[in-house]
Amino acid sequence: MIRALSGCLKKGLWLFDKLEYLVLVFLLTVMITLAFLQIFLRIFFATGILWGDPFLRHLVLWIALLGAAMATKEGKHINIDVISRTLPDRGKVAIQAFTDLFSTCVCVFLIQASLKFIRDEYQAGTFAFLNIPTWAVAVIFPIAFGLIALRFAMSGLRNGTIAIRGSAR
Amino acid sequence: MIFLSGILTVALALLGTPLFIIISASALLSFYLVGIDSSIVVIEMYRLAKTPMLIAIPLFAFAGYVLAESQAPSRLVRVSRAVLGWLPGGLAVVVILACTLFTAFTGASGVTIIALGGLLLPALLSEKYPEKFSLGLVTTAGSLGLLLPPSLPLILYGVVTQTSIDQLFIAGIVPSALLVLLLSLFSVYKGVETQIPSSRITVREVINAIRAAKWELPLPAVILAGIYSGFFAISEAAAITAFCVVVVEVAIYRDVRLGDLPRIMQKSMVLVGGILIILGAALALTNYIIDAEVPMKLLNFLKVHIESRLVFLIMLNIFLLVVGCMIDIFSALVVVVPLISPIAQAYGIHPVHLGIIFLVNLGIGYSTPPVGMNLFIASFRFERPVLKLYMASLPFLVILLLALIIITYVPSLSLFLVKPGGP
Repeated sequence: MIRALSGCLKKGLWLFDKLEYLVLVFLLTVMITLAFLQIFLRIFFATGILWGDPFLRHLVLWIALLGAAMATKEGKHINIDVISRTLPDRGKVAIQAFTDLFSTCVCVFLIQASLKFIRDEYQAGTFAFLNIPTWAVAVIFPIAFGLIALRFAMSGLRNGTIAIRGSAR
Repeated sequence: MIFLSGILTVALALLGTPLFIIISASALLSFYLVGIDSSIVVIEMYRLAKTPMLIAIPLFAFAGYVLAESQAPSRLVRVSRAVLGWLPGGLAVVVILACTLFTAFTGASGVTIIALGGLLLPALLSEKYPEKFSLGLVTTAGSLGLLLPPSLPLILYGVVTQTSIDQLFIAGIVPSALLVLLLSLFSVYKGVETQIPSSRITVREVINAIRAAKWELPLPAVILAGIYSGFFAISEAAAITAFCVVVVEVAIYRDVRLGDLPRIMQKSMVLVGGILIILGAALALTNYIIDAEVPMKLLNFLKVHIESRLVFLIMLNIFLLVVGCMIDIFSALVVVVPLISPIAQAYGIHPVHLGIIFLVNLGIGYSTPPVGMNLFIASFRFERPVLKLYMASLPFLVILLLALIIITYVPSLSLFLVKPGGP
């Protein structure tokens, strides 16, 4: 029963990862194409898509946040590793479990902050570009911070167990 | 309370907590302490979607990763060898130029070591360059391209300080040339000293090498001309680069398969996400720092101890070397620049010149023992002990530091092209 449940969970996470990957690739492809189209139109036809630039800028935001979520999954966030590089394996894992849990907590506060941001923008009724309201483009904030928190939590649990068990496997 | 949390934050950062978490936590805490709602942090992060220049970062990063996976590095090396191989120490000069150009396009000297190092180190060794010299060269040469378009760190500096990126790229020309020149002179001297036979130039090889790279060679030329003439904005240059690189490497050379692109996109966007999330968090923290007038307080404190611009610059150089070898260049820029730039301005340092100082300094910090990142990357890539790389990079560091001193204390070197008639 438990095994089946955890299998289901794993499957779900795998699907989610795949979805995240596809969205990221899709957004970047759109970005490359649209950005090139814009300059092509400017040079050869002295024109451009009016909503193109704000749309591109919002793509940057989405790509940045999804990229950050992915960096969390791969453990590739930029950090200072001067100390951890010199530690023995077990100490390294223990410290990482600790920093993972701290990171999870910070992300929870970020989720809270982004939900407040969305609420405020919803009430103010502001628009990002065209007819798209700001709150709608801002939903990426809680989604990304949620993913990041989840991944830090999972990594923290994993590292914590390893540190307690005392083996580096 | 503030003091305690400050110490705690630094400790957490040193233990390896991701920097964006550290910065976000500091911002959240700071705003909480002055009673401002935490949504301000996200409001500031949302500025990522309001800065047109930032479009350039994902596009250039992606293009750089595609180039790194293609055969472009070897074609680039072949052309420069054909053209410059006749110099005494010619191959070493080739290494310098190839690394400079490649770093300019990928924005990260670590990537250059990985992409070009595997090609260049064996070539140097097979031509009987001393191992120590060769290792030091490929490890340090990567940091030279940081000042040339379309270098990502320079764009980031422009975004953070709201300095004209076009001016920064113009200002970078002479200092880069100086760095390249000094290292090249050293290489030629080394080539003569160790009596390395220089290869003869053959017109046939020059033509063949250029023909092999004919689809790629126009790209840097178009980008540079476009940026310097003001015909393209940086973000437009990025769009052209990304598009052309894909067409050339996938459709024409077929070095990279279409099916590989999603994977390369993901790899490059992990880097971009890592940088931009730090930038987003730093925007929030900077907002607090400026509001709390931290730079002014710091300045008042410094004014008591540091009277002259000269002493300030010396302190800045040392400080940035330490920072550069501790943290990565992108995070150093977004975190340190907002603090330092108002202070530097009070000491009468031009923001464009400050940008050049920052990048040269941080670039050198990258290869500075004991903890410079490039030393570890090179150690990993070339399978040599880190200690050996410390020794190998020392002579190069001395030269780079010499150049740094000149660049720092002769502002007109950076500024005379920006403001005709001198500063």
